[in-house]
Amino acid sequence: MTQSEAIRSVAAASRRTRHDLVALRTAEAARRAEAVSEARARAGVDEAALRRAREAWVASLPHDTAALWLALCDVSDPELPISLVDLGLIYDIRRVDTHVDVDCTFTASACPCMAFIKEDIRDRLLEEPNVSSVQVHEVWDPPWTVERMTEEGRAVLRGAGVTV
Amino acid sequence: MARTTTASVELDGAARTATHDLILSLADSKRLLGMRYAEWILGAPELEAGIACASMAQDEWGHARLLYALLKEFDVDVDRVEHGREADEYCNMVALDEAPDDWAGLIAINVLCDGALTVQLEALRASSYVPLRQRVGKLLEEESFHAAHGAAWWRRFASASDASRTALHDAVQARAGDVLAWFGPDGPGARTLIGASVADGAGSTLRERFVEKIAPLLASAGLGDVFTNIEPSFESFEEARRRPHGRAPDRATIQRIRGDRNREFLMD
Repeated sequence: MTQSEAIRSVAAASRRTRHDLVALRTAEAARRAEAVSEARARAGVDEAALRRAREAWVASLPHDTAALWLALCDVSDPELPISLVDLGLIYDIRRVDTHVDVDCTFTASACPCMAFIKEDIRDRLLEEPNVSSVQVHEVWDPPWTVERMTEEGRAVLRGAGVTV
Repeated sequence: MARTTTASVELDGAARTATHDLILSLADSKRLLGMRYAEWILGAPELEAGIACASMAQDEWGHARLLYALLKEFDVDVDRVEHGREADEYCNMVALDEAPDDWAGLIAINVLCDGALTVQLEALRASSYVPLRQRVGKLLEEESFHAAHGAAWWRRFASASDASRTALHDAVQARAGDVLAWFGPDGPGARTLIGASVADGAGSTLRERFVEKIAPLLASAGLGDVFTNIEPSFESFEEARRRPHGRAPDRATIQRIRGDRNREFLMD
């Protein structure tokens, strides 16, 4: 095997690894959902107050993109047991016919999970009816801070021992 | 309020060129700086310091990535800029050309080079060039941790012993002139950036801001007059590249930065 053949085979294996990773992450998401509910119990979360806050938030969503915001509530951050919406990474969602644009930021300028997060956003929104294409735009203004997290997100992280 | 520009094509010719040059010099400097931090992830005097170097290296490469991406707007082949240039095409701060050979040198780089880059970024907070301004806030927020790290170690060097103070003096004096020169002369490029409100200061104005900013640290180490006694040299200095003609960062560093040995393994 020549060196270039060896390199090509490693690159192919890397691509296969990526597919395996997707399967692993699906399993991880299920495990995480369980951990989240345990964390909430440990943190003594006031579920009624959070439910009221969430209902108010849902009622405030724009009519044409409400379902899309709710869909992104299913997408967990790759490193923290809360959704991208609760983490405050989603800045805006716009829909034109069946095309969706999402403005999204990251907690750090060198976030190593950027590609995963963008891919997860795209994959989840493409599951929604009447969505045929999704473009994720990176935005940095205003910069993300913990202030952008929802109360629910904070409650869960506190339960997991993260100071926010 | 100054007129704002959302696309580089709306900048007039000279302003567009000067903005491109500024972004490239910032990005290249941050890339080299990230490498200099990374070289100390193992071998720093404390485990915590090594971890801090890992975080700072990550930040600097993140900043470089965001800045290089902006160059797409200037019709630049960003892939070539990131992975195809030779060492002598880099536009980084000269003081980052060589790896520091001791921890005092790394701390001098942390305070002086990282500090100078931050002063330059602060001058862009209200930039008329919106895509740049929109990134600067995030970068500066992350930079505040680098400044705290540098200041803490600087004070330890300054107060620990005569030997540590001497090591810090030597490291600072070896780099002071190059750091001051990096802000550039008050030449046509500097005037263009200010005239177009891309930056609210350039050249000597930024030099003064920088020296004023680090004055308390300099005083704490008995280095109060180091910078005031230096007249930056602009002999054979290329204003666009913000460095003297004919000098280049070491090739081994550039080969690692470009990822020459790993390119074929990229998945995308």
